[in-house]
Amino acid sequence: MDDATQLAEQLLQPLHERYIQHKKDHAASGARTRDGISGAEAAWDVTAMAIPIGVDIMKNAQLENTKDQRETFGMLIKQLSLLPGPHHAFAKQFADGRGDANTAYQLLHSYTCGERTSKRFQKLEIDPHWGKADLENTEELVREAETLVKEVKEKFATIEIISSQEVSKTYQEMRELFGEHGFFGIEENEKAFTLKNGEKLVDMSPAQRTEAQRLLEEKLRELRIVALVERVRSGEINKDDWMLILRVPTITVPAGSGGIYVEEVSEALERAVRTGSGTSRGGSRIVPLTMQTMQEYLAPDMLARGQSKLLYDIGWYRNEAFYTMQQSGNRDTSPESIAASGGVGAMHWQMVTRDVLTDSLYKNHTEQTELVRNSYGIEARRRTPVEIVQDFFLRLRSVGDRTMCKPYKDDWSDVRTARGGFVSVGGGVQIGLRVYADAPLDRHGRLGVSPSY
Amino acid sequence: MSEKKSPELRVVPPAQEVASDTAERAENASIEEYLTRATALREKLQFWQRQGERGLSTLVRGADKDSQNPMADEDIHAQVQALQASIDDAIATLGGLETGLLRSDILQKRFQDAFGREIRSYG
Repeated sequence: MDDATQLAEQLLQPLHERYIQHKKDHAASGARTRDGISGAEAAWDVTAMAIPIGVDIMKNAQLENTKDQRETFGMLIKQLSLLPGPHHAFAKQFADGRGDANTAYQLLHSYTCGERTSKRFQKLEIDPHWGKADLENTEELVREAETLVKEVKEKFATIEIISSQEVSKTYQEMRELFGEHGFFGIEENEKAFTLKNGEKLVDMSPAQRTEAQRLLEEKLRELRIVALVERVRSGEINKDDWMLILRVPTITVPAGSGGIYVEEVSEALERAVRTGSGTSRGGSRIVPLTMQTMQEYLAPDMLARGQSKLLYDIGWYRNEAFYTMQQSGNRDTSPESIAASGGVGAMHWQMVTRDVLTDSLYKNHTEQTELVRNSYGIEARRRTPVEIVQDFFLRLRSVGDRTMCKPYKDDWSDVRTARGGFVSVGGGVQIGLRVYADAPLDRHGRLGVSPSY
Repeated sequence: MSEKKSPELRVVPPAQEVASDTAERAENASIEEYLTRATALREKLQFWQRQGERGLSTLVRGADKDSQNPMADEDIHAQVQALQASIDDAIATLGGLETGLLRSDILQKRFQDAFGREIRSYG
């Protein structure tokens, strides 16, 4: 890192510290930031470009303080826009008067690589420096696994080590139970994410396949799922009302592609992934599965295949965190959260209702949440925008089903935009999925909810 | 004045049942403990699995730099392959163990207790 970049990092540090403090001050107790104040909201507040949360404009001292803060930020931007480094694109946007909450968030995270707070602003280490001790520890882990299995076998004679073939039986059974319109597993993901030229963006290794099947076995042990699957089996509930979906958190793209994504928009996320889990595979790069990466790598292929557009118009949300950063499998959009899960979100299974609940229409966001909790239990949750897009894509590419939900209905997520509205995704006809932000108290005949587990 | 408890409500289990109940709880705790250990171990190993051949090669080369007798490229390659295979095997076995533990009679009984009926096996 050269001096100029180092200086830029130092200049940003006090603002970053204020941001962390501000986020802590306004976070719900013990909860993640999305429950109190989002990262983008907190970042926007510390720039003082608008009146920050908690400031009473009728109190002169507070107002003066905000003005000072805004002036300091303006000076900082002037300095930062002269220095090179990962912050530059974002500082430049502010200098040109184009900065918004999301830009502020990205500016503040341009030197963090996703570690927890205590490790922030450390020098970014892309190439890991592993040594003899690390190798010995890894070999020790393998030995420990053998010992553990032996110990369990000795202690519990009746417990079997279930082979991958057996786990595979469960997988096949679920495939048959939910049918081709309701089961989206390994093969469906691979098929959907294969481009017209034969390139596979999801190509699971044998170990990953076994892991996916094992995860299904695990999912089917959740009490809520056990009950649900039993009711599907007995015919008590219609299997066509539910989908069982394997969520993959990443896709593999050709090296060197997607320059905009890597260099400008999601620098922090890209680095989090790079430092977390290694992203190279035979000249390809592994990138997180976000709405943006889907739009970048898969939407052109849809057009090439005559499947029309994926997203209608990304104009208003192209810089929103739910579009650029929220990854399939992660509820939170912050790089910290993504890094906390080992750099990328984890592969997992999800049970999703195929359509929005009719009863949820014409209800505001809180009323819908109550409805979901009362009817489906507290474990039920809404899908995130990227999950809604992913499910639409999987259905379209695996079974040619382009209907996302009832005509003219949108699935309302609980992910907020920088301005505070909740994102809804719907449509799905030839013009592409439409994405709106709706105020929490809105009630509309097009806004429904698809619960999931 | 507090109301006296009805004698019918105080069910005193026979000594043998208490002992068996305690043993079952101990075994149950132990199964859960093993399950936790197996999951933690698998997750640690999965970190290395995710590194793929390239990452493991960096690991082996890094270790080689620390040693007195540097290895030839072919030996490094062979060690990487062996390490990768042993990690994959260990993860698969741990996964099988976790499933086995989850399917154990004791944990299955929990499902029965929760639903008041037997839950059929998925395997």
